Amino acid sequence: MSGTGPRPPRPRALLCPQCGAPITLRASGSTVSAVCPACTAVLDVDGDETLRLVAAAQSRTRTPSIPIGTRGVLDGTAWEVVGYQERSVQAGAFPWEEFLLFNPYAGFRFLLQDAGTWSLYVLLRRDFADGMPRGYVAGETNTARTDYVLGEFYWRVRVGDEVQVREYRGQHGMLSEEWTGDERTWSEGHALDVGEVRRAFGLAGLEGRTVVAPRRMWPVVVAACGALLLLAAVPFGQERGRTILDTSFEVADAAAHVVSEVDVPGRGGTLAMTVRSPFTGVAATGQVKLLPEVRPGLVVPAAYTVAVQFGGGFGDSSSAQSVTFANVPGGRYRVVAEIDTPDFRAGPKRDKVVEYYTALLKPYGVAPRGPAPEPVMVPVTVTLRRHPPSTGILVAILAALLLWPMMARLVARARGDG
Amino acid sequence: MAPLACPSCGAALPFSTSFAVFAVCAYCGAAVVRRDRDVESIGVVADLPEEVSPWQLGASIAMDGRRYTLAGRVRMAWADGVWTEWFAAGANDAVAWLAEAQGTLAVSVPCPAEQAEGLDPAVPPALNQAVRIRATAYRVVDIKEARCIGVEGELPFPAPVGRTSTGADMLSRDGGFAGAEYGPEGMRLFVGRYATLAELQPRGLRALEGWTAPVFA
Repeated sequence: MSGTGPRPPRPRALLCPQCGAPITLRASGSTVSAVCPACTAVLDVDGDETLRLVAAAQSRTRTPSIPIGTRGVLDGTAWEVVGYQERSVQAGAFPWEEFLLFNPYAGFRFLLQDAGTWSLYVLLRRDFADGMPRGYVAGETNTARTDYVLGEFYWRVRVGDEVQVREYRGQHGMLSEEWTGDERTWSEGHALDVGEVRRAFGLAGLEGRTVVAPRRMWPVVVAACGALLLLAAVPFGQERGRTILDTSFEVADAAAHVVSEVDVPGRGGTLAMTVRSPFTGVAATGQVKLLPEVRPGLVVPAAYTVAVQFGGGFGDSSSAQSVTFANVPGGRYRVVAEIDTPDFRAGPKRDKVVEYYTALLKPYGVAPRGPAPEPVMVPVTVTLRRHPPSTGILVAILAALLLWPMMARLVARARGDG
Repeated sequence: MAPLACPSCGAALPFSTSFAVFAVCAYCGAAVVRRDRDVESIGVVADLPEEVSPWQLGASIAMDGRRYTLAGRVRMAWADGVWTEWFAAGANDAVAWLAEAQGTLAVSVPCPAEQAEGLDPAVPPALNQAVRIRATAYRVVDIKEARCIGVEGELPFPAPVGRTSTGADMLSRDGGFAGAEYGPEGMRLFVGRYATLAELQPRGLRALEGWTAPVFA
């Protein structure tokens, strides 16, 4: 240390002790467990930010529905997904997703996705020891097991860890009690509409359930009627339609790869193309195109193209891009991907890097030291949904209008009871 | 008070409060203990790793109508986690502590040990033990063996890196917080509450790249 002035902050480059991949801590200072994004080894982060291997690569690699590093605004606060746990009760049955959200000014929250129901929880700092919280109904007690982890955590996360959990339902939300041995935590949560989560994280394809708070039923019913009428004028909704392609592949160079072929049936229609990737490495950019098969007499329109950008660190890139194309003629199409990343560990590049260094060192009679970098590829999923030119929507509106008085009576009765 | 110079590099030491007895030189990292009229270096403190935290020395918080400025910090670690205790000084020698752990904040002020019923000043309590402090019922919810892994700024007690202590956290039904720390100098008791950032009306927070600081009215 020298006496030349106040010491500047020191950026820390942490490397996985297992595979050497760089690890970025997004909640540095709180984080005590981290998972290597490249090899999924579980690591302990010590007080001085050295990494200690706890468990080597996890056997399964799952893709969280919201990738680590994604940011979104929920309840008026911007959150970054820093951790992901897949948990289940009864040894792998009934799994759910648990996302650890972080904002340095607001702390941590838990975003859960359980069988399509999304909810947001905050840890409580309040003592309930002398009895159950009032106004809540206790559910059954279960053993929750951690099956798979990604990202980072402010506790020592371990695959296989088990805790007892109990849910309490109240009129305005839920309470969750978790305990193991003498340690007990309470958190308070509320359900989120899947639409809110989709908008928050910019993931239009997120699966889940629509949740309507009882007292907000009226505006929703009115809005639903309005939406139905709008649908009559514009016959293609965003969320409806049939999936005609759902394909996953890996790329890592700028060449055009024909990754799939798809038949757009009948007269064609509106096509919603979504391209997503959990890639969190150095930015991957490019495009995915839908190219019509050339046949006599077909006027080839401009290719249907979705430009994509994945990974690359914080908020400036999203993990899913979706574009809707109207009046796509029926027929056979090729799906062509051109996605590249400057990551030197990427597929063919990695081989070239190894080749380069091997050749460079050869005259000196030495080989490159240490293992070659773990190859990375950009995993990509392309889905195509078709909304056919529809006439059935008018029938649906008529049915809804006919059923309306019955629904209104049901809603009124439900509210009267509550 | 005339500024005291670092015995190691000569820079002015951050002894801004009359009760600070320990300071870390911001320039050379020397850990300095204040004697009656002199200062003595007792070693060098390593830099603390960067934290994604909005708090920094010089920031201030409001508590019960009083404003306190963060003057020092102690970085603590236990077997399964880390947290930070910020030492805050107010006007007229008022002292407060801000505990920052996993994004939750607790503010507290020192409390005479005699005001607690059910706490042994020599032996840490047991988990779930009932404690009464100033007519409020608390329960011991957490006991941790902790070690000081880093210090910055000035402190009212010498906190060399490696100092170990046992901390007992207590909670009341309405979110009240109390902490008893059993260190080499005996027990120190603090009483306060959990708070949100907005409730503390912070000023002088650190800017964090890539994040927008909330605006407090």
